[in-house]
Amino acid sequence: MTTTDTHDLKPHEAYIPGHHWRNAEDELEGAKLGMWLFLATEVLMFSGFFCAYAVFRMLYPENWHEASRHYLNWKIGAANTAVLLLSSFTIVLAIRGAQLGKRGMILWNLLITQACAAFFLIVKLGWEYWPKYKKGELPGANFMYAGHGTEHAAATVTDPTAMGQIVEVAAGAHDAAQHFAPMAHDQIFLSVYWIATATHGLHVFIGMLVIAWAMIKAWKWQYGPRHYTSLENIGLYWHLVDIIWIFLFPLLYLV
Amino acid sequence: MSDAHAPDFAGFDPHETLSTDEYKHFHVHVTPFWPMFWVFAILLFLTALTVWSSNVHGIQVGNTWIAFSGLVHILIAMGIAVVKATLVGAYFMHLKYDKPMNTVVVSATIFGVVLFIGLSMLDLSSRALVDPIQSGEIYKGGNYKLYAGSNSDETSPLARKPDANAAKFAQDEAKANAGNHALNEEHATQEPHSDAPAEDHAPQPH
Repeated sequence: MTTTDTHDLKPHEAYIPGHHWRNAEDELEGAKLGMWLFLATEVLMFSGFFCAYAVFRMLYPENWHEASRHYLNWKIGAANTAVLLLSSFTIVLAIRGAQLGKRGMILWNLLITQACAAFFLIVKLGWEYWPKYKKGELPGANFMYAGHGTEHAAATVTDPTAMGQIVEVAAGAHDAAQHFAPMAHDQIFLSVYWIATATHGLHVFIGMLVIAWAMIKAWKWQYGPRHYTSLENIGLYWHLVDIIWIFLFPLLYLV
Repeated sequence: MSDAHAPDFAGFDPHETLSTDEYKHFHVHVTPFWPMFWVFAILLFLTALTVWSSNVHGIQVGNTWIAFSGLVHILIAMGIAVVKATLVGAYFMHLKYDKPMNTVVVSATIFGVVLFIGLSMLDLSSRALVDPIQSGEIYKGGNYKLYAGSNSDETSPLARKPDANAAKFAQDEAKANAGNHALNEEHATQEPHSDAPAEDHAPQPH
């Protein structure tokens, strides 16, 4: 018998591609193409939020500019951007570790990725969502003008786009940046902010779960130079989550 | 049956028609460290640039101050974001090293997104051309401004000029009021902003 005893091989070395594949490289390529098709559906889903953003921004540009300056802190957004970029870089290094057959490199880099993702979510929940919830800066019908601009003389107007609701608008609100007063369409801005960032945050959370799964696989020596398909696809997913944040950050926090 | 054709690593070969070499074929591009590190550094730099650019309100060219409108800020921020996304896609997601099929999928996706958002914007910005009644609804800064009495500020190139029809209407009305009553009543039954020739509204001599 010239056949090597499989007990001597690590799982990734003994990996056999599915019987419908010519070889392991074809299998990896096919899996990646499938992942890209899935990512295409993800992009199209998020583009719905971007479209809503564009439509309402076009309708109420000043209101949105003021609202993004008032309701969101760019420092939090910038810190989260840097953290997500770092996590993307480390997951690239984790894939490099798999290609070089270095288990420690995979595990440490995935651990840093997890820490970055946890940092992102903790900042998002603790420093953005929770204070906003306390202040009533919630999406849609739950929105309340809690304590803002009550000292201003408010003119009651009927907004034909707000489904016949009566909304209060402080006169001359936009000429005093230091005295922010709520404007008629703040709740639309916050609705788009909440739905887009919450969907993105859910993706980060799902990413943490699948990266944890990848860490278990790496721990069991299932990733190596000849087989790391799921790690590769998790990396693609994670980079897409990063790209979406690259667009969300300036749109929501800066411009 | 014969051991000579058995692969040397797995105990059995499901691909009896393939040679062992074909079956073991696996050549992938090993991710390099330094290019990826520099891409990461550039991404951080571009993030800082985005933050900085959002606080630049204009540029000084000689004696001329060119103010940046909100649209300019959006275009700058989105331009940088597209560059960042391209870097992530090309290097981190290694589209640069992949077979071109994945890039085809990405291109089709981008085409779909541009179609989706672009046509929505086109619709929104051109509704008033079709239906003047709608023009009051689609309005820079929101409709509340009409009622609050504040009507002047910088205009986005995408935003329509809201007062075009109103000014024309006021002009027509002024001309009609200056004319005799019969003409005025006749005019009132017409469209308020019809394209009737100006001679019809000219004041008649008493």
